[in-house]
Amino acid sequence: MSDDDQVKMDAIVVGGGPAGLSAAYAMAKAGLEVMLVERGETCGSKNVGGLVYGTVLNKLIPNFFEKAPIERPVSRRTLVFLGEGEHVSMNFGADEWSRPPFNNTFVVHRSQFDRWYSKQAEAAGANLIEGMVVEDLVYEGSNGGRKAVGVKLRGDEEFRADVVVLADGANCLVSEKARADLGLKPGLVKQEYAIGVKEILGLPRGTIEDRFNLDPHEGVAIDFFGTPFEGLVGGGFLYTAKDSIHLGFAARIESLTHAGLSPNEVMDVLKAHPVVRKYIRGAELLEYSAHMIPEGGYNAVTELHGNGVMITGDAAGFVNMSIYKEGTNHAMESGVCAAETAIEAKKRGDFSAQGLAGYRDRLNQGVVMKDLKKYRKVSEVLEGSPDLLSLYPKKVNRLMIDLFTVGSQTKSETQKRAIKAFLTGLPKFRAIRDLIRARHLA
Amino acid sequence: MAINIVVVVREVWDTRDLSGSVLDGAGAVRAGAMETRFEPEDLNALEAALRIKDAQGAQVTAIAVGETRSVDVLRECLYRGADKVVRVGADPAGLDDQALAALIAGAIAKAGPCDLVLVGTAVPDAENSLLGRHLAAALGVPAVSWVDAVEEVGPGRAVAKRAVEMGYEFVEVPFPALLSMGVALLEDDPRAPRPAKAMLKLKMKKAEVPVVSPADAGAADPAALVAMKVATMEAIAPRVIESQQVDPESEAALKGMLDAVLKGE
Repeated sequence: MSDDDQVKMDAIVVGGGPAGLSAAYAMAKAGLEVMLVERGETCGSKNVGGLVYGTVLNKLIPNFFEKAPIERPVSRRTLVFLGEGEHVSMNFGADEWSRPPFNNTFVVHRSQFDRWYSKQAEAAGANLIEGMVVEDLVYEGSNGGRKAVGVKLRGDEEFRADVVVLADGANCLVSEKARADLGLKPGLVKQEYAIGVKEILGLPRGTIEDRFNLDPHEGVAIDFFGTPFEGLVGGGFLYTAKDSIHLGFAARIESLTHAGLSPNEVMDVLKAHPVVRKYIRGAELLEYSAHMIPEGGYNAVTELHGNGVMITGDAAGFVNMSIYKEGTNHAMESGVCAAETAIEAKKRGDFSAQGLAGYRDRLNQGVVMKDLKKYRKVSEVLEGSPDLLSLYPKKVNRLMIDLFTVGSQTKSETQKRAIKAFLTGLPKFRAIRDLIRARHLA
Repeated sequence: MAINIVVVVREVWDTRDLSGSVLDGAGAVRAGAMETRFEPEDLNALEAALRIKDAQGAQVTAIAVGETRSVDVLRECLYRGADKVVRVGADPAGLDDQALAALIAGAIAKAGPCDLVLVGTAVPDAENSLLGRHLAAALGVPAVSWVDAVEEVGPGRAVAKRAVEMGYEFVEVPFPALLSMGVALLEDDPRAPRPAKAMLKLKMKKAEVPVVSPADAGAADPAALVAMKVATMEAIAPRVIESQQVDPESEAALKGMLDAVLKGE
């Protein structure tokens, strides 16, 4: 490479998902020379669909939902407990969730949404390099003085920068290597992963709106628990997009291995359940995807900044695995925290671990770490009390069905029997303990 | 003296991994149902040109007709090392290869002196291999088709290697000449064609792409040159094999199965 080919950026962002794009957008807006490297052909091309939470984005790009490719806002949420054939659900929504800012929850096609977001970052001045793979960081110095000074791309190209923001997602090979190379402190526990599987099923718009009882600008997000996920630490979901349904599930990889199930088998069982089957009747499979989700939570978070480096988003493990299951807004918030820290570091000219310590402080003061901390026991509870996701939902289902099954007995007889059936096989002390522990999930 | 090479590049339907129906009721392609890609043999042609540039220096110009759908093939050429690009500002929809060739020949003439024109042989969504032939005719230059590799270049001539039954044929043509590149380069070298360079992406992302109008290319009304059109397309339904369980204990069931097989049901 000749000398005039040398390019030095203020910051290089590795990965063009919600975290990386937020970091690149915020830094470019502040006038930093930013380069973002994304391995997919375009930002979002490695992603399929899902929910985007907009609290952070709405601060960066006010009323983004008026311009961004949103499929439907989530105006109603449903929790469904699936039994063998029975089901119990809880449905809630609000009219104001159908109006801006729509409860900050949107169903999107990530390929379109991330691409749109990448165009905003580009318009703000970030240099987007797509279809390129970062293989490693470039370092200078040794031991404690070792610092990242750039990235090395596949094909032996090197780019230099004062700071590298790592946003390389759940399967974060670059971040993992950087943790080792810079000696970042590990988390209290090892990161744990779930596999998320998702199908995009095409259906006519009108059919979706009739079937799910929606107005044209409304959508529903359904969470499934129970039988299809028996023995697994996980659950299913269904989101309505404009002309398609996103159906899938996420489950701890370990629990799948332990149960001897493949993701396809679980997906087949979910799709065959009477409740789900009727939702997707007549739909055409358009896309299929699988994705890793870091689920270790608070305890698995490592030190996230070192000399010349900050780690954000899924690569940092910022997924809230409680009943709220939020990841995209945490990713965006961490991206913004990294950007603010980089902007401050540039003013001071200090990109050492000490100079970037503001990243940790910002995270701690923000929503991300506080929420992760609140739900730090989710992992432990789900693993220690597997009945929470299978036995209890089944029991509740049975109880409701028994209570409302019309027969020839008297009502008091029906109720007595139903309650007796409910209590049979219910380990009382453990059940009480489990229910107390379940508070950690909500 | 460095030679001038023109590479013709096309953005075509990506016919890999098709799912669902890609044709509408009238037998036309449903645009929304398909992705596009850089025509792989054109990418080969670009690689051949860049190898000549690497070995002995050359000015490589890429030409494409029409606006980008999703893959900007001209920019992709810049990202790989092409020196210049030219877009012909005409909509290729509805144009046959003869009309396209007239537009491209005009754009080549406008772009300056040219020693070699390289183009991919076939196009995966039509496989008619006609563009190179019409283009050679429009330019009035000799053409070699199904070229595996350019063996020697200059002075004043090129030697093209082609596969023939049981061996190779080496064809010498004087400049200017047109070579239609086949797929062999892709199959023989896993690193070919070369990927884009990040540094070139950084530099060329916003580079201006000059546009030549059909009038400037000498074909103000390319539609008038069209001689051939695809009237309609018909999909072949994928073969569905249904398996049936037969009770191995039941003689009647086995006999029924044999009868069905023998009757070809």
